[in-house]
Amino acid sequence: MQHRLETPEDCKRTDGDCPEPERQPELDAEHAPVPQLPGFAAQLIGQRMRAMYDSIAQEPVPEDLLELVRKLESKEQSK
Amino acid sequence: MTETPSFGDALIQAIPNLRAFAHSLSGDAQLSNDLVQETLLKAWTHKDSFVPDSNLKAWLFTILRNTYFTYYRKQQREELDEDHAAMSASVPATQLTHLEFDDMQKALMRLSADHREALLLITAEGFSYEDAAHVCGCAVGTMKSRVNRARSRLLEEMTGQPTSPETNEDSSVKSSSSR
Repeated sequence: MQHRLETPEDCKRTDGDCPEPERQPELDAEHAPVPQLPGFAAQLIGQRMRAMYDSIAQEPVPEDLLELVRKLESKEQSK
Repeated sequence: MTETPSFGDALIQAIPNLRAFAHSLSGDAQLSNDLVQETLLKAWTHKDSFVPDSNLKAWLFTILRNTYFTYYRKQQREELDEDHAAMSASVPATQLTHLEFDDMQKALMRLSADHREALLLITAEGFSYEDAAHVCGCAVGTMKSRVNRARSRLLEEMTGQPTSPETNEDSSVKSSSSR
């Protein structure tokens, strides 16, 4: 799990005379704070997704897809 | 042991994962086989442009997702995604722990295509953020942000509980992904 809770030390400084900044989401859109899920939820989502994904990956490959690759190969070899 | 597998062997080996990605991304089994077929054809036609010893799977996934997004955008222009909207609306929120594959797929389909793709590449396929960003033609930071947002939205979808106010994705992300 990649929970990045890094708060740069700079942001915590309150020694200036500016009012305490309320965690500014102004970095840029890419780094805008994204709600972090509780670990177990992210884990569950991951498990469910992988289970779904793997169940498709484990289906037998349709014959026509295999056939396609074989045809392409044999076409090239017969050149 | 020293014999290197042919390009064709490598393609065949990749088919199961390509199918899983295509199916999860498009939400359509028939379409996914068509997408994989087209991917294989394109890969074969352009195999000279594949850099040997680089990541073949990432290369194939790139072809596949580009093929899908070309189709997807065309489709959206044509019918404004009415079907997906209708399908999505009929799905009740489900308990996370009771989630069946079907529900997972439907919840996935309610994410934006960018978010869906990011989550699938990272969480399901297990690409590194770098490889996934490469596949999607976006920055690594964008990829991380998409995955986090996608997770939050998916959880929202599945529990019916908002985890955050709706934050719309920046438009730069949209345009950089549409290639």
